[in-house]
Amino acid sequence: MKIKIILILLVTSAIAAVIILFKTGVIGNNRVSIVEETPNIVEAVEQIQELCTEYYYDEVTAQKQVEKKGVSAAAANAVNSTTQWFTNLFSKKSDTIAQQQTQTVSKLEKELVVIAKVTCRVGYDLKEIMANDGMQVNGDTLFIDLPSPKFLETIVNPTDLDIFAESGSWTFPDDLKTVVDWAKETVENRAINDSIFEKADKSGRKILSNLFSTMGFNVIYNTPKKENSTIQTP
Amino acid sequence: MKKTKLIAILSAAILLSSCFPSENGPNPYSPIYEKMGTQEVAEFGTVQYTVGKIVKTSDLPQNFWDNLKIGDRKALISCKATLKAGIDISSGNYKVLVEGKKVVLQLPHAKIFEPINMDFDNVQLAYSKVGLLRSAFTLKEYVAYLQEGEQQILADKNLMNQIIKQAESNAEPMFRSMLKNLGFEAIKIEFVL
Repeated sequence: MKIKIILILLVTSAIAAVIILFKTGVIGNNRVSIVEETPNIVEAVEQIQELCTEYYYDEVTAQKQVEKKGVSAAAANAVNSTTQWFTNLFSKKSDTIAQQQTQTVSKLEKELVVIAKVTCRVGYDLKEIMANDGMQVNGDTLFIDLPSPKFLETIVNPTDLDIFAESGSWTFPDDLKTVVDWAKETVENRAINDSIFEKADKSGRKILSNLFSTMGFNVIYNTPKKENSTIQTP
Repeated sequence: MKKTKLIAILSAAILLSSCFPSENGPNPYSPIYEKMGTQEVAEFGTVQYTVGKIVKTSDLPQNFWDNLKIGDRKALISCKATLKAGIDISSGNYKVLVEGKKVVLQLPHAKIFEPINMDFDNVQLAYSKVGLLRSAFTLKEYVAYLQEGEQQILADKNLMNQIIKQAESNAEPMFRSMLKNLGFEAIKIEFVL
């Protein structure tokens, strides 16, 4: 009798100790790590000549899932089927919510849900105009060979990422990079479908016309032919 | 026998109570992106800086419990950020004074264009060590460390001033060359607005 009580107390104490140690951060990850102040090293300085005329902001949710395989998948299916059978047994036929497939044990080995905020900077590379003699004056008329606008940068910073759900083991930074690349591509396609280049071109012409008209010029643009295209986006 | 059952039930109750989440846990709510859609700007970019950084993280003792830690967690992440700067005339804040072949162009001071670009293509995990009784780093933790690194770059005032100065000294020949192409002979560019 006494031995049983001692055994129960010992086991309980051991489990409680582990929980306390975990909650206080002595073990596990329940403690804030410190990011030390480190120097910022300038690696390169590049002279650029670009005109950004439009920003495009959007937000996407990326989800990556890996399903369980083998014995663990079979065990999860068995538990879920049993639970489903009991749920159906005690629920009315009209109760459609209860009839739906419920997951007591997740079928997923790991899951990652990330909300990414993406910013696209769209405009012109002015070097294309300057280098190719793209500005010609005839009297008070200025002819500008305006190139097509393009994505100057598509930006997803760490502060733009919200890891909404994470379970299982993921590889850093490869898995995160895959998600970010997908988010960038998706938003770029959405921006194209949202006529971002037309908007950027319109803004660019307005900016340059305003700037050069204050110098007394009438501005005429020579632009390459546009190709209309629509891209499928999620 | 009854005592054993009672103790067992009490122990189970204590353990179960510790499984409930504490009220002081992190808030998983993320606000909706404050900027959606498009914004018209007029930013003449003149300089691009590539800044390298090593994000260094470790479990430094913060309180009594931290001194009792078993095992350690350390990570070094190398990353790069690209910062572009130049002249922003989005609000029409420039003046042009023309007199024959003379022109004076008054522009605003240069600024760093936001956001900076901390591309994940240049992020590498240089070192990682996790003790036996410690949990592995999660992606959420790594992202939090990088966010701190990003904030450290933006808080470096010396670097920001250096970039702004360089942006202005690059802007001057760019606008001068543009105005020269237009036929002006005496060109004055001022950053005063």
